[in-house]
Amino acid sequence: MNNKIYVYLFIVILTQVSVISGQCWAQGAQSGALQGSVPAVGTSVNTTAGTSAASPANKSASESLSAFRSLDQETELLVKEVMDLSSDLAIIQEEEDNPANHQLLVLVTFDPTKLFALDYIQLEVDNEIVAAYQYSENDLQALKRGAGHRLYVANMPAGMHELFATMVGRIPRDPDYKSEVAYKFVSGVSRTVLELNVSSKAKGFPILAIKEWN
Amino acid sequence: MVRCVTVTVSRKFILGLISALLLPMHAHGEVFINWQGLQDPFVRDALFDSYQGKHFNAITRLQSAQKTGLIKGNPERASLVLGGLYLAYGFHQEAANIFEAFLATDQPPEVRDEAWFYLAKTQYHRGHYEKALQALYKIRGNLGISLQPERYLIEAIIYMKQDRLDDAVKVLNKVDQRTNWWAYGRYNLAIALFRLGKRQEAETVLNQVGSMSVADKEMQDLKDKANLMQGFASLESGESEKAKSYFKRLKLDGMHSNQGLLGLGRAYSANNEHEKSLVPWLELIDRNPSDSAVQDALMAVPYALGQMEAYKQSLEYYEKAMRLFQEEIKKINTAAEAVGGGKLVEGLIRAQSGESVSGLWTEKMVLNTPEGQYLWPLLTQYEFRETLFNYQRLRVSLGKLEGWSALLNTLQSLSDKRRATYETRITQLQSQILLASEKLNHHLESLAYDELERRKQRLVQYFNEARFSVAQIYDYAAKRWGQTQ
Repeated sequence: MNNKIYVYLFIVILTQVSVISGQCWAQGAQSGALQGSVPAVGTSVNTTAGTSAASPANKSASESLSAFRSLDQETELLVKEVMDLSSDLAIIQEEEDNPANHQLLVLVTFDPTKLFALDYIQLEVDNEIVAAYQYSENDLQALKRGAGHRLYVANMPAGMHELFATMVGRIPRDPDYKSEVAYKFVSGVSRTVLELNVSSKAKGFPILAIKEWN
Repeated sequence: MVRCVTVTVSRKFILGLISALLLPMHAHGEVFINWQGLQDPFVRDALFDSYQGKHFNAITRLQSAQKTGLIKGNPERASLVLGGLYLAYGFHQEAANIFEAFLATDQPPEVRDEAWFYLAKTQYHRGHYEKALQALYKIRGNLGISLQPERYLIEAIIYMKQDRLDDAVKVLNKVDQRTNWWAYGRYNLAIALFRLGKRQEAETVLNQVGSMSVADKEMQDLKDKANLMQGFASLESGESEKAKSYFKRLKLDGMHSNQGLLGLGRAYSANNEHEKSLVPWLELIDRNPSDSAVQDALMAVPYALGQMEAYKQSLEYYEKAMRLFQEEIKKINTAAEAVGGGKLVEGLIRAQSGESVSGLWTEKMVLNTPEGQYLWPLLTQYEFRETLFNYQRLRVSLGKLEGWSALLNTLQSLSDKRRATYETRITQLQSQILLASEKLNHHLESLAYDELERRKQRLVQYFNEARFSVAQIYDYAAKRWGQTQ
């Protein structure tokens, strides 16, 4: 009985031999697939030997880390130089576009409050809408972390100007909560920096206040 | 009996597990120094850009404000914030210079400690371990529950990298139990104890992680990893029954399930329970063949069948394995073609457009490319990711220089001499940046090729082993049944 099974298995295997071994030879001949190299490595991947000593594959982790550190340092120095240059040129450009004495900068700051979600702020100068900004979740996160949003920067003619800001947002019982503030300032003497501050100091209701920085 | 490819526990694999120290992925995240009580509008203005990931703009804006004397009140604080902005952009050298100069001044202790912490963290990730330790030593107070455990973990991992295992153990024992960091601390503590030869203590600690109740995927992955390590360590010491119990604890569809199935099969195999070993291995070979555990299983299944003297089936599975290995090699070659000529870097940069370099590449972005599935592990490595970020930083700088180059002629207040000086400086910087970008690109390609080559070598080796085993079966059959007949 056992012998019959073995004979059967042997016949089955024999019928497979030519097919499988044929495939093996074919696979061996398909050097593009099996023995082809990774480009730029510079050597072919032999089925028995590794890549050559010059190959990056042989580069040790410490060599790689050392190369990384050196490139990292080079990048930092170069980018820092570009930053230095950019800040110099930005000063020149700003002085030309918005001379210091006539410059108006309006910055929005936000004192964190759990109950108020700021949606947008609109800014009017001398009865003309000059800026309106819808705050995204990312913007609000930045504001809550102490950042200030540059809402408006412009060159103002010398003289007295009137600013009017409107803030719209949501509080628990009012999805269209609104707060407004007006302010008069003089341009032409020095740079005007106005901080529009959103806070909830007055009886828990959010308010918009203006502070001028000198 | 035909000698097929032996299925044994790879000592190298266990050593790999023992040397793989762990910090959570989110620990690579952004720098967030809590600059309490900042008032100056120009400092806050710069911070807005930085928090939005526009670090280049943030730094130049604050620099401009400093250069024109706009910052009033507390200029040291503004300088420190500038240091923080550099750090957020990954520039630890400049940040370190600034912190060294200004953190000694009268600053709130919390701000000072956080600044040192983030500097240490950045230096640690960039492999400057000694500098990182020096920064950590400057922290005076407790950083609070959100940062203190991470501080301990970083310090301990540096000690472990320096083979100061006893120091590492002391620090790791301080990690607060109330946070997820505790589990990472325990895992690393177990590795330190293993390396100190205190195996029993290490097992006790790993058991704490491997049997903890988990609420999220991150902790589940860590728990699985602990059980995997225990399982393979038990296998290595010949305790296959114990190994089985650890492998069975793994989540079947978790991140480490392939390794778990492989290990479970090995535990049965070590007990000569070959039929049982086939159950996890057959499950495994239907998974993605680019995974190394699946490749192991593709060799392990015909091995088990050979042990059971089921030679015909063994041949069939070797044939299947050879076919899949060959297909994988072809795919790797295609991936390698996609890496060359800067295509890899350009593709990844396109996937993550914009100036921000604080974002992360997601699997979805990367896996759609031919090289993606093989290179994804690289993107989880700090060196590759930071080199890519550096490439992106240089591109942003190049864009800024192009912008300034075009604007120079419109700046009326510049004298011809100054304009010419700026033009020369811009041109010089452009060439230096192009050269540096080329070097970064080459480094990234080298890392990618290394990864592909490593995978390919493994497949070629397996293919040859499978072919050898097939030949052995034929040889055996010819000798045995040839004589019978």
